[in-house]
Amino acid sequence: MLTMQALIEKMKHFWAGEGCLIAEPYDLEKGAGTMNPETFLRVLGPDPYASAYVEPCRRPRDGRYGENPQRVEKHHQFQVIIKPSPDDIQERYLASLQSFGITLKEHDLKFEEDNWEAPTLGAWGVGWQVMLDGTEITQFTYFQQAGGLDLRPITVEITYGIERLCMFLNGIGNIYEIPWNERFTYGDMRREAERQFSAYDFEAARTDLASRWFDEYESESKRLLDLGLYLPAYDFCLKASHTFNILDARGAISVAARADYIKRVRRLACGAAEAYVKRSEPAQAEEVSRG
Amino acid sequence: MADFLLEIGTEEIPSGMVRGLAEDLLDRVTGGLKAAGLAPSGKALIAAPRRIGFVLDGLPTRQEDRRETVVGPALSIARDAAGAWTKAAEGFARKQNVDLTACIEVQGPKGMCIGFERDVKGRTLAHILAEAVPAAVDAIYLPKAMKWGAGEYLFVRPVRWVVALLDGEVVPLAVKGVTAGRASRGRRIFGSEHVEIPAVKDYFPLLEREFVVADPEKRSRGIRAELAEQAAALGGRVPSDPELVEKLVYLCEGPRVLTGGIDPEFLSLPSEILVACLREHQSFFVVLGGQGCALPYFLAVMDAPADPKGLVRRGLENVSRSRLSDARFFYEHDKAVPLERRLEELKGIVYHPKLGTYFDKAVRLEAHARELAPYFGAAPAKAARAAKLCKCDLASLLVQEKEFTGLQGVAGGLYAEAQGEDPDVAEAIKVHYDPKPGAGPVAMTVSLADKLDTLVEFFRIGQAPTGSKDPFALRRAASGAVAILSDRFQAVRPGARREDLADLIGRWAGQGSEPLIQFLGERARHKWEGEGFAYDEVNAVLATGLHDLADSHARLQALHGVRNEAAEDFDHLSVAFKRVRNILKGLPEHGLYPSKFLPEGHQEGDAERALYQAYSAVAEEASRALDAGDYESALRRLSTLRPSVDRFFDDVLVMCDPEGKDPGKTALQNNRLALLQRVVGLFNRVADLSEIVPREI
Repeated sequence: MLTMQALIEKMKHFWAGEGCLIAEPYDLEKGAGTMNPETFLRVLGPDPYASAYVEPCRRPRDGRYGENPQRVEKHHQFQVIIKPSPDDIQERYLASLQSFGITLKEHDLKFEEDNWEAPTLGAWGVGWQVMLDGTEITQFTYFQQAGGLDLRPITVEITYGIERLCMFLNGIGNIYEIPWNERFTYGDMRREAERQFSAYDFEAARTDLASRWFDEYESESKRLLDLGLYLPAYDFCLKASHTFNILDARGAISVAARADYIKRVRRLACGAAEAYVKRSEPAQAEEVSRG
Repeated sequence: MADFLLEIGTEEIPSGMVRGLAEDLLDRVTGGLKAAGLAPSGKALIAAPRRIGFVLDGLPTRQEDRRETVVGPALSIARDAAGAWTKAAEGFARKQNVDLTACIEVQGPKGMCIGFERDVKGRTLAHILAEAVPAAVDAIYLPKAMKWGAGEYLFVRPVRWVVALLDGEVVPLAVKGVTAGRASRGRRIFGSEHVEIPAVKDYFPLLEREFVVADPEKRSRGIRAELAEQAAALGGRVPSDPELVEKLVYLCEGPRVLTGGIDPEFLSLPSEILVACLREHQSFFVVLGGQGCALPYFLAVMDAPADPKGLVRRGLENVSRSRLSDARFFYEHDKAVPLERRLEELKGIVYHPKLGTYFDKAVRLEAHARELAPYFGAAPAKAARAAKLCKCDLASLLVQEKEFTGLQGVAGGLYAEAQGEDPDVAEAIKVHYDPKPGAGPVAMTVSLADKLDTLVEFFRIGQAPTGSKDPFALRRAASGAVAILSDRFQAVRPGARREDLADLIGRWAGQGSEPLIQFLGERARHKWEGEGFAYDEVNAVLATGLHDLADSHARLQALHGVRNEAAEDFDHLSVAFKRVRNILKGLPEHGLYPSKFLPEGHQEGDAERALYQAYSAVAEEASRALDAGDYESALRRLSTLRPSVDRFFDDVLVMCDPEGKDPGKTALQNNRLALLQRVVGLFNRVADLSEIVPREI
């Protein structure tokens, strides 16, 4: 048995050994680890960077009231970003799997094409989903664009689905049976939250309020961008994005309106990205050895 | 002579692109070599997820030395009046770095010029390759390109190593910043990450030892053989699925087939859903027993030499179990919702912003199907019912899942069956996207209504395909319509109404029908040429108009068959009919009336009489055969006219009175024209032979 917390420890240990800064989750709701400024902003510009962190991700539409063994409203990603992408990044990634206790010679591993795109971030990349005995355990992406800006050098992003990987390692099919540690299961920790947030996302959320919030977050983000405060501005972009996801789960967004909402969020994200790149003082580029 | 190996090692290339990129690379490099006068005697493709390249056998190791002529300015500039070399000539010699005394008069493209001859040393193969290979790689068409690392290079995936060997020697070249050497890599995880290739001939066997089968055909054969073998061992078979095999061939470097079990509780799912679920999600093949029923086994292709602990099998079975239970949940849920109730939900699914929702489409289809039904001898009420319900599954949970979108139609048909709809209605819903030959009349009706509606509507809003842009897959819709109209309309019951296709489309499409009819004609041409009919035969048939594709197809077959029996006759007839066409072209359309026909005996001269008699001898019989749709007999009879037609044109001046000055001659001329028109008219009931391109003469 490998508990989820032990797996996370192994992940941090491995990537710290590869020269990554171990960051902490960002304290706002988001749909993917990519939206953490630790990735979204750090991939921009010329400074080398390498970090790894756990990111809880909320996807209101995926909520199933704690009843579906595979789908949840909130899951955890382990995110690794390295800029520029090292030549042997695939080999390092495979070594990480070995370090978690997977004997690769006993399995079937394939890199299958899967290009990634986040319209709300003006971002896309090229890469694979990594399939281990038919289970997708990782998303592997070479970022090409973020915030509407072409990237150079190129960042590689490795996103492990922690629950998926943990289920695979323990040979279990139900997410709620994952051992979080020796005493508590994933169900103990998460099931009630899944139930309540599904109820909120699908039934209780007030769409009139949410749609007003969206407008307010958007205008606040714009105002802060005008003041040159691109970090808080980006926070409000994230809030707008999550609010959009709730409206979407509530079925309050028509097909035609959807594209417009996405464009509005993207404009904020692109604004923050441009401001970050133009910032007068170079970020205190932590000199991170790339191992 | 030398053999050349090029292997470009990359991170995993998308399976759908591997082969195209490898072939493109091979074509470009051999093209460059041939242009330099260096042609290989044999070639072998390397195409696997982590490598593309090739081996070329028997290449000359250097170009021949040759003598070449350098041409300068024309003599008019290069020599003065006295015949001495001018300043221009001196300038030419200086620029070319030759002595003026070495210059001579040479033949230029437009007359005599100053020039000189020189010996050119042939370049070595290695030198040429060092330029040709990087240029070829840069020129490869990439459907999707990316950058990596410092972001200096663009390719399909990062290039990690390059092997370039001439026999046993490394060719000094670089691809995307990677210098070529002799170190390849074996299979990820199982093989060595450093495989020295001593010489070209060692490449394929050495890689196989490292679990890489670099030859895609060999991988494909291996997968097919193992699939057949393991399915047979289970007492079943795997239906041919070339598309899935192809995907797996380029997803694996050393594929092996593995048998897994399907939990028997899922065998109650309709096999279409079972197969689609495991195919789309997991790329599995479901093993079918007698009567096409699924056996509780799947076959999977893994990229590993073995499954020593059964972990792969267990993993795949686990995933398949959760996928199948999802599919079963959707299916059971959907089955309980009457299709008709889904109509309301179709109002929320946009077909196209300018064309409304799928509900609107369903309403149109219902009317179209009712109208088309008699052509197929289908019951109008059943056709209308099926048409109304055929899009309802788009609102079902199953079809809304990305992996099951391919089950559109099939899912609806299954629900219709389960909900007790008429079997013809259920079948029509099931197959209306792509009815196979043998589908029933209701199915043909609904399918044709759907395809024609799609075409009419998108043409109406100006979305006809242009060039390579066909976002609404209208070519496919048109090909589907053509297939039904051309091959399957024959299911029409005798006595069922048969109407002009052009009229029908004209009625539905209104003013915009002409481009659409042409578009259908193009698809018909595409289809028939693909079936092996010559382009000029297709032209000859299409030139008579597009009214009834089944009839056109029958005429095409007759033309093709009879022409092959008597190719020479058709060549001659075609020449003659081109003349007739040219003559008739200048005449007023209705300038000829049978009343202007002179009675027998008024023909002048033997040749004219002979044609008249020959025509009279076959006309009645040929007409009868034409009426009966026996185009072969008709054509065979008609082609006996060829000697008379030939002779007629040899001996007779048709336009003997072009100015119309002599009433007697005018009558004779009209008589000749009318005779030709009748002859041509008979042939035209099969095909316009003036479109035939002679093969022999």
